[in-house]
Amino acid sequence: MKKLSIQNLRVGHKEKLIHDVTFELNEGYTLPIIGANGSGKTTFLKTLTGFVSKLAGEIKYNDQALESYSIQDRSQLFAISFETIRPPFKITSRELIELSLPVNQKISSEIIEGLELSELFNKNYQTLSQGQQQRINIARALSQSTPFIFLDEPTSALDPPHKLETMLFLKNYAKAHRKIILLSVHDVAMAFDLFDQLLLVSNQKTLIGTKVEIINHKLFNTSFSSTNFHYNREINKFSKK
Amino acid sequence: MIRGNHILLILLTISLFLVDICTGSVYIPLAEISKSIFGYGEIESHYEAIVWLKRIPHTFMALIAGIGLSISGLIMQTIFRNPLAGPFVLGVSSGASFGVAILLLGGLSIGIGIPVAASTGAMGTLLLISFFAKKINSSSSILIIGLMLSYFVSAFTSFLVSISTAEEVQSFSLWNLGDFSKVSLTEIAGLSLIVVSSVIYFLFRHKAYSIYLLGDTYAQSLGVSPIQLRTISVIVVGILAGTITAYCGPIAFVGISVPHLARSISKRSNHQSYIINSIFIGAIFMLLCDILCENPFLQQTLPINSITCLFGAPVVIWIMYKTATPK
Repeated sequence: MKKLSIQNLRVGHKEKLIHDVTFELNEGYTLPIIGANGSGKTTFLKTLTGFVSKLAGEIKYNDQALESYSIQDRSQLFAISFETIRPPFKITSRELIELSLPVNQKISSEIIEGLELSELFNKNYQTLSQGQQQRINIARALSQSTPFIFLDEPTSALDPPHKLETMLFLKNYAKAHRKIILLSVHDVAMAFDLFDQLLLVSNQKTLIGTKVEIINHKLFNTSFSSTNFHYNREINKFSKK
Repeated sequence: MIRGNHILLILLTISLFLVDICTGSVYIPLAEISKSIFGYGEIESHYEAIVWLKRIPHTFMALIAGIGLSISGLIMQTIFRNPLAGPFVLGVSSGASFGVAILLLGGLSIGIGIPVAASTGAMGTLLLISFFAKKINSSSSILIIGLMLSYFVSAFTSFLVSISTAEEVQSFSLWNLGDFSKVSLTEIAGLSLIVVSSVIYFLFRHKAYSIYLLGDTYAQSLGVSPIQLRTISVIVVGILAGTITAYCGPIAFVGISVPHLARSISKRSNHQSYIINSIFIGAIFMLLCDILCENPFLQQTLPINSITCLFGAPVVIWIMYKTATPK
C-alpha cells in the first residue's frame, strides 16, 4: 500500500510560508491544492519533493522519511512537472518523453490517447505552444511510472476543454493505476467541480476538506477575494461583490 | 548504432587521413608513401624518415585534436546548455596558454610538464565560467564573459612574455602558434589514450547528458545529479582541451562549430548520436583544414588557426543569427 504522510510540516524559504501541515494520502487519490498567488503552493510541492528544504516536521513516503531516499531512489519514487522545460537544442516531443521512461518501456497508449498527443509526437518540442508543452510535460511525468506524481499548475496554459479533459484524465489515471497525485490548480471553480477533496493553502495555514467544508471556512474567503470580486456559492463562480 | 551515413563518414575520414599524409612541403610520390607505410620494395630512406617522423605523427595529431576539441565543445555546450560554448571562445584555451606561460616563462621549474600546466589552466577558466553561468541566463552574455576572461588571462600571459628573456619567449611563442608537427609518436599514443577514454566516458553517460538538457530540477528528478555531472565534465573537458592545447597550441573555433554540424546531421536528438557524429565531423573538419594549410600550391605552410577561423567564425555568426530573437 503506497502512502504519503506529512506531519507538522513547516514550509518556506527564510520566513515561514505555511506551518503545521499534517495529512495522509493513500493510493488511487488525486489531491488538488488551491490558494491565492504567493500562498506557497509551489514551495509546498517543492518541499515535498526535496527541492526546497523543509523548515520542520516530517515527510514520509511509504513510512520512510524522504531524506533516507537517494537521488536514484527518488527518481523511482516520484515524478514532477514544475516549471516549463526549455531544452536548448531541437528535440521531438517523443524523444523528450522517452528520456523519462524506465529501461525497456514504451510510452503507454493510454497516456497518448488520454492527453491527445499523437499529432504532437514527432514535432520539435521547442516550437510547440505553451499549452502543448504542458501536456507533453504531464505525459513525461506519468511515463516515469512512479507511484507519486507532483504537478505544479500543470494545466495553466491549456484551453478550457483540454484543461477539463486533462484534469479528468489525471484523476482517473490515479484511480486506475493506484497512484498518488498532488497538483496545484488556479481554476478553483473547476477544481470544485472535479474533485471531492481539496487542500486549501491560505494565511500560512492549510485545510483539507470537501467543497462545502472549504467554502464555509473563513480561510477560504480571506484568501479568495479581491477589491471587487468574490466567490459566489450559488453559481460556483467568481463574480462582482 | 552504426548506420549507412556512418559508413560514409568513416570512409571520408580514412580518405582525408591518407590525403593529409600525402600533402606536405616536400613532394613525395604516392608509391614511395605507400612503400614507406607498408614496408615493401626498395624504400628511399629519407622519404621513409619524412613519412614516419613527420607526416604520420602530424596527421594523427590533426585527427586527435579534431576529435578531442569537438567533443570538448559538445560537452561544454551541453553542460552550459548554451549553443555558443566552446573551449576557445570561453577562454579555456587562453587558460591553458596561461598555464604553459607560467611554466615556461615564470621560471616555475617544478617537475610538471606542459600538459599538466595546460590542463590546470584550462580547468581554472572552466570553473570561473561555471561560476558565472550559474548567475547568468543569456547565452550571448556568457560568450562575452568568456571573451573578457580570455583577454584578462591573456593580459597576464603578455605580462609574463614582456618580462622574460628572449630564449624563454622563443620557446613559448613557438608553442603558441598552434602546430601539429612537434609531437612524437609516444606523445600521440598518450594523447589518444586521453581522448579515447574521455569519449568512452561520455558515451557511457550519454543518457545523463541528454537528461541534463531538461534543466537541473528535471535532471535531478530523473536520478541525474546535475552538480556531479558538471563537476566531472569540467575535469574531463579541462584535461581533454588542456592537453590538446598543450601539444598543438590554442586552436580556434573547432570546438564551437563542429557540434552544431554534428547535431544537424543527427537523425535523433540524443547524445549517443551527437558524440559519434562529433567524432567524425571533428576529424573530417580538422583534416580538411590541415590539408588546406599544407596545400602544395602554396610556397609556405599556413598556420592552422588561420584556416579554422576562416571556416569556424562564420558558423558562429550563423548560429547567433539563427538563434537571435527578433528585434
